[in-house]
Amino acid sequence: MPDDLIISGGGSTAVATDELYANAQMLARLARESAAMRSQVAAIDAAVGPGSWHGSLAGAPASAALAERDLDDLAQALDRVHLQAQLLQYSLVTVAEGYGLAERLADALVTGIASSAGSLVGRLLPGLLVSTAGGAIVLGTAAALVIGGRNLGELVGRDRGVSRGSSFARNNNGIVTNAATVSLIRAAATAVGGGALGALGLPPGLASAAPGALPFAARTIMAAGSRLGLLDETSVRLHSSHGVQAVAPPSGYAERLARVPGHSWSGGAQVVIERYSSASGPDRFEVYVSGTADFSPAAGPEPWDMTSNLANTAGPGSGSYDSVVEAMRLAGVEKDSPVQFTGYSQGGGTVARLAASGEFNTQGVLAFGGPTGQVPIPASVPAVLVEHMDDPVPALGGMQANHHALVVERDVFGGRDIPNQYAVPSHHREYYVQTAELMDEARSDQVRDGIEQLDRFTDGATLRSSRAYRFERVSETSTP
Amino acid sequence: MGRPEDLALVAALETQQRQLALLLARLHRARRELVPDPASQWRGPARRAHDAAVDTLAKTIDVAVTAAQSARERTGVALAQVRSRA
Repeated sequence: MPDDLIISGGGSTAVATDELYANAQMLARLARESAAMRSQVAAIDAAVGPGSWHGSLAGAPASAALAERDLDDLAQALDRVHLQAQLLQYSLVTVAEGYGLAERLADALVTGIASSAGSLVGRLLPGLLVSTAGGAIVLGTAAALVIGGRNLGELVGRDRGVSRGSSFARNNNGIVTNAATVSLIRAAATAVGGGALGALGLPPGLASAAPGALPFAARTIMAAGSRLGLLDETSVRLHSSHGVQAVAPPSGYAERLARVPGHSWSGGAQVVIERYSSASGPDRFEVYVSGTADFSPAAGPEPWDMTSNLANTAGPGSGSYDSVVEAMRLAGVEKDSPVQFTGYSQGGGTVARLAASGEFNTQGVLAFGGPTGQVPIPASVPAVLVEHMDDPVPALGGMQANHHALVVERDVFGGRDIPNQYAVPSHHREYYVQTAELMDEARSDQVRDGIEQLDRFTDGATLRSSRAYRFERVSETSTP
Repeated sequence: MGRPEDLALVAALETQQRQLALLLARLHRARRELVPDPASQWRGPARRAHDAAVDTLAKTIDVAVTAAQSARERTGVALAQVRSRA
């Protein structure tokens, strides 16, 4: 259902809705509370009952003896409450574990089959792989191209919808905005990884199991694209920066997402960095990174482009990655400065890469709609990854392998009409804002603990500055 | 009410009555805050099983509430009777 949040990861193998987790946690509290009340009844009974210091109820009125009987009934009822609450809680946890097991089995099956198939294709027909891999890794967007978009920018729309796709794409967006299609895209992204290694001659079993298969595929695609003058990485430089109005640390998921800059209303800024001082340590930094602004495969002046998207998949060192690193340097981030990252779309993938690099003192990651699946965020870094089940963009990152991270999913349009103002509405920022608001209202400990941990980063800290940065690519023909 | 054992009994019954009042408030809070609502996201037999289990749990807490209320009332009656013995 559209407003259900599906929770997984966080070190657990279970998968369930926020409601199910909240109910299980409520029942666990009821079991503890009933046990405590049972002890209270025993203490009352001991003070007045037959075993008490005054020996017996001899001399007490009959009603005192009847009260004793009520206490016995109360004790038995509380024992039953304890048992029933525990049984129901165990049942709910078992359901969650069952979902988790089924999902892991399905993932393993799909990953194995897709990777092996990709590997076999790559081994037998490497030319075919190279010529089709680019299409495969962007299968979701390619599917939308088939239904009428002229370029990728038309498909997802930009920020608040400067471009919203051709009418044909918008009217047929159900093909892409579909959890089944998105699952296929995830499998395809995984298959491309196996395929690239298969092309090198690795047997299917080894190629599909190899870590880093997807990054390798991305590098292969970039190398192939480079021959056509596409997907060429460049260096970047600061275009401009300006101060941003902010008075207090962010609180909650939605407020964090709101601080991620959007190209159409942030003067083209792609990064916002807030600097906080605290009495008990070095200055700390909140870094917010925006989504893709230019969907052309040919690198132009905008570093938040498709070249960076692929380069982020390949590893650290994309135009967007390098821009954020430079913005952090300009903001005064030092090697040991505590840093927390929040990103949307490409920004999500970028912040995952920054955390994975190990080059920063990363204290937390929050990514909305980012292709983060195969980016190895260290287990020591608390991470919350938000993905729409009917959004193809996170699926382009392959199967989610960050099992320690809290993964929050939502099927935005499951069971309801898909609006036709965007070609890929489920990736659009306004729907991630909705999801963030639902997360702020969530009742499960997992989702609440996730934001408490992120918010704790700036507990007692004072905002010193907030600055937005805009970067541009430096082409060979650019003047310095 | 001059008998020493009656004085002790009154003190014990007063304590019991106070503690039962506290316990009753605790039970009401548990009934209000710690019993899940009927499932809104499930369907079919799983939903029926879940809702039946929640309903049983709520009724068991109601039984506990009734027993606690009765114990408190009867303790009050006993207290009044002991106090009236003079």
